[in-house]
Amino acid sequence: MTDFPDVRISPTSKLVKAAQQNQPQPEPVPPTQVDIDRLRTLWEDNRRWVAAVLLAHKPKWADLEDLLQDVAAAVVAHAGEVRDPSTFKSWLRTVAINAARLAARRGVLRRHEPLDSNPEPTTPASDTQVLGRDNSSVRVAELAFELPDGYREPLLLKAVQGLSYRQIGQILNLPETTIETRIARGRRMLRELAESRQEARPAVTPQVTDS
Amino acid sequence: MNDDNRQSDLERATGIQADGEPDRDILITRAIDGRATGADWSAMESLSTRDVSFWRDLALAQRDQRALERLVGVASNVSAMVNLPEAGGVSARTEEVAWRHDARGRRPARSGLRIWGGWVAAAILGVAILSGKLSAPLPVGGQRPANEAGLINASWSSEQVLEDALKRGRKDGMVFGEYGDPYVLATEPAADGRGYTVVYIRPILVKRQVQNVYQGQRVIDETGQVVGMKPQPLPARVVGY
Repeated sequence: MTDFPDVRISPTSKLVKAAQQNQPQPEPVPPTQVDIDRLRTLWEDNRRWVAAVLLAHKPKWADLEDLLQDVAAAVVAHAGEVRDPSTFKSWLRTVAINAARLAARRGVLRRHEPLDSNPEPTTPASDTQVLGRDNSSVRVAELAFELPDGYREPLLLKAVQGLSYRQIGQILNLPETTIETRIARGRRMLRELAESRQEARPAVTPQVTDS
Repeated sequence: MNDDNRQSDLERATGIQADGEPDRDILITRAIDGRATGADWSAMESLSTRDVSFWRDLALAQRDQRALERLVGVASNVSAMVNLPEAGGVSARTEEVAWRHDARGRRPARSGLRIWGGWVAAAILGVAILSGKLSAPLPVGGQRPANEAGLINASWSSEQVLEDALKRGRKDGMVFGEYGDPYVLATEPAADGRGYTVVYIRPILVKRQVQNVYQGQRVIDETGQVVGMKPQPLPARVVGY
């Protein structure tokens, strides 16, 4: 029988060892229906806040549903690689942020395409258009997109119905007290931005101080 | 410097700043989120006597929060329409989205199929009728062919012959299983309208005992025609894994 050199084979591969020793091999275990159902439940429990994370990071013109589908596909393909279940939320957030950034890069590339390529909408629908004619909501939502990432994301996550500070902390991998501080400062920034716009002063991103 | 870092744990927990003044932003946030304690409400009352804009700012912050909840509520409704896709539809984009999670830039372990690429000694391109699940169709009567005598029945389909060969291979240790699910290349409705015709790769792990290992190299004549195959030894790494 052919002698397989050990050095080339992953020592963790039971199948390889079994084959070498001519032993009955462990059967590769495909995902069971239970695994698939569990993953589906996991997705359904988390997709609302994933949408909020995407909203916080995606370019305005990117389609939220498309990005959610990208994230869902990544969950199916790679959730099994998350070894520590306690890091699942943090992993899922990273996947969502990557999807949003990838969309932004694709958008930048599109702008460099030749003029005769498929035309893209030059003034894509803004997320805030879905709020319809509610002017105050539209204004506040648009101002929220001007906040720094570190404040915008917790603020939008807090707007997800039923999400607690502790859960937001798990998603952002930050202590609960830091989450509270960021939400508090984010709210102040939002208020100050709104006031500065109302007074028709030049737009300034407010600076947060200790006082 | 970020003010998150400048604030002590005690300040964060109590909402009281080092100078004894309650943190205005924290109090407003606790009121909005329904987390304010009795002490917080007392601090708010006390603060409002010195700071006439306090209640107004609380009302404005509450209005902003409702606006954000409406925005995120719309996003949540969109998310409710997005379900997990069926496994197998992994695009290059999906790969890129997922593997960037690792801060050190390492890709996670590749799929078993890729690791095992060299081991998959036989990949059989099959055509099957799909009836809910990819499997070899049973012969009439619903029984797998029993071929204990080692004879091949002339009436068997190629599929049945293959199943029998695999069964015998498992018995004598030459075939040691299949790796993973079949990889579907194409599907189309069956000509008779019943089920689908599916073209798929069925990776079967086979081992063979050989004296030498060669690969064929095409021999081409001066007119460019292939006139034969010249055996070349395989590099050890191809044989090894």
